[in-house]
Amino acid sequence: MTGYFSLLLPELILSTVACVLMLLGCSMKVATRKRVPILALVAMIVVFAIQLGRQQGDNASVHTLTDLSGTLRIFHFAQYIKLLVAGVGIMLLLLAWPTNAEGTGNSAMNVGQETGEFYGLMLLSLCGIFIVAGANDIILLFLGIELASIPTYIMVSISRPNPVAQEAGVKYFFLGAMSAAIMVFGFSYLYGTTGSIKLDQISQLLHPASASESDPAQTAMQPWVLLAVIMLVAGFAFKIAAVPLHVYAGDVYQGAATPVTAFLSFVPKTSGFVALIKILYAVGGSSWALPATLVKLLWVIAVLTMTFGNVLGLLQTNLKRLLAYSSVAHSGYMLTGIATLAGAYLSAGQDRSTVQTDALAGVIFYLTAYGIMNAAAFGVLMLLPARDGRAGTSAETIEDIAGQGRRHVGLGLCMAVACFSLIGIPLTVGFWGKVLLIKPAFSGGNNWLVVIIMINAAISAAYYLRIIATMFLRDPVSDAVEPTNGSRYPLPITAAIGISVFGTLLLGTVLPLTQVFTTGTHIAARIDDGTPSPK
Amino acid sequence: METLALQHYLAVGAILFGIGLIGFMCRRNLIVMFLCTELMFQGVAINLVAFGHFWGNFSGQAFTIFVLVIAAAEASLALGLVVLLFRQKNTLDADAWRELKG
Repeated sequence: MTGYFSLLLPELILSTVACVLMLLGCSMKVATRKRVPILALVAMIVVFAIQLGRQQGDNASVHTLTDLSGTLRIFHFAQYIKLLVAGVGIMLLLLAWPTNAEGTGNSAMNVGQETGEFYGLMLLSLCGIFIVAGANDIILLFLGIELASIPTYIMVSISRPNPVAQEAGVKYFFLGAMSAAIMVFGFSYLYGTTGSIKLDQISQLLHPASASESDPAQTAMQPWVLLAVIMLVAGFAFKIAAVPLHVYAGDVYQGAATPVTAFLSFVPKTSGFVALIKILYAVGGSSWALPATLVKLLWVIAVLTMTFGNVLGLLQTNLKRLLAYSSVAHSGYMLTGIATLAGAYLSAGQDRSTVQTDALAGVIFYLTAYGIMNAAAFGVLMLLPARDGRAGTSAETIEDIAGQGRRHVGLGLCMAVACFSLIGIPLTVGFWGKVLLIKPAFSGGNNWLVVIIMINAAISAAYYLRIIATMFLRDPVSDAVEPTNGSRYPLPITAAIGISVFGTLLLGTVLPLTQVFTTGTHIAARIDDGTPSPK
Repeated sequence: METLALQHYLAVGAILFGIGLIGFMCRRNLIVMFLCTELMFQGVAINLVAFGHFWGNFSGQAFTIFVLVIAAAEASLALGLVVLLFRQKNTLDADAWRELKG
């Protein structure tokens, strides 16, 4: 019994602490409410430590952990995703710390009445991804995705006390509810065509063990299964902000408070990618035998997402909107990894399992790199003051940051590191992320995809460099007001930026470390070892 | 008289889902838009119950209960947001909120 209990230990800690936080938030005393973020941080660090202890290296004796009914299956992939989410979760929590309310513009995080709810919802949302990572059951998978999403709708709405945040919340919620309905329609047909809700059983039913491994006919898919998968991809496309369901990204990212925007750019995206990988693995079998139609669809979505994200990013003057479209573009880069993964069975010939492992490891690496480098960009935005010095605001438009790099040299350099990494310039983790995505695409025969990634990286350089140039080369606007409260840079946010910049540079420059990390993601690319689950 | 087979239920489910989807795209009243997403969820629920009956296991019905739970959670959230909207703008028109664009 303890075995099954420990299987769910991180999820149990997060959801229990979330409930405690919501109760503490009801307290009338500010001193009690001030303990809320501390407790949340402690819970995240404990979960991170547990997950760190559960990473098993390249060890042949490790098998898929499963519970009595086979509802959960946890192997290297799930363990790694949980570690990643816990680690980035700590950074996101530090970004949302209730310090310096004047400078960050986040009243809900300013130890107000909603403090308990805000941090409780944050932990629940992170708990949702944990469940998505471990789920082997489409009911649990759906519930996990919704648990990761529904709290974010509320977080957007309560993050700022002005109508803009509520408008963002309404838009996000309505499109989210529609995409959830599309997704669950896909799940219903996946169940209907196979008669099973367990992902491993679905995989066995669609790919009987008797059939030969390298038979191209393996990729043939009944039209109803294909319909189910396409509906699911459409549902996940909303979570990862892929074209054509990216339309909400600009509005929602702009309207929400900056730490919530940072949260949105990582958490729903991760849940969408993890679910997408798990579903493709289930319908493609362990050799990822996916039909050409689906591969083409993923290819087109990847290319459109990259290009739309980068071109729209060029046109923005609001920095949060710009980072929103940058986040859309980064989803596109990761989708190229998924497209390579899905296409390898048909195109890559003998070495396809290498290509598949490399592509999946590339996606996982890029997800990690994005989580690390993105936090710094949002953190710097939170610490820079707005141009007109309105109380409780932070920098939002490109005019706000003009010349601020000279006034706040440290922050300017941190922003420069984040932007260089987001472009993919060498010596940063973003560079290795792009290399590891391009390499399998190249060996998988997707040369055009490589060319399009390169062109997109060049387009994105234009707007990222514009941020840096505005910060350092333009004269400061004279009416910029310094934050008046005591400490100029609150410690938690500085810590988050520090972790982010340090991680970006360390993983980009210290090659042995990058190597260890790459090996780690290759191990994490093993989703399941095929141990039969109990009947 | 022909008896009801699986495809009849699926047709009803798909029609409900389609009506919901079209309604969501075309209507601009927030409550009607929300009802349309509910319609989509109910279409899926019919699918799931029909499939569960077809395969003779309870997974479909169990899934239906969870789909209803999610729909209920979203209903409470939607009504909260709609009340918020109405207090500020005195209208339920989705187009009334257009401060964010670009």
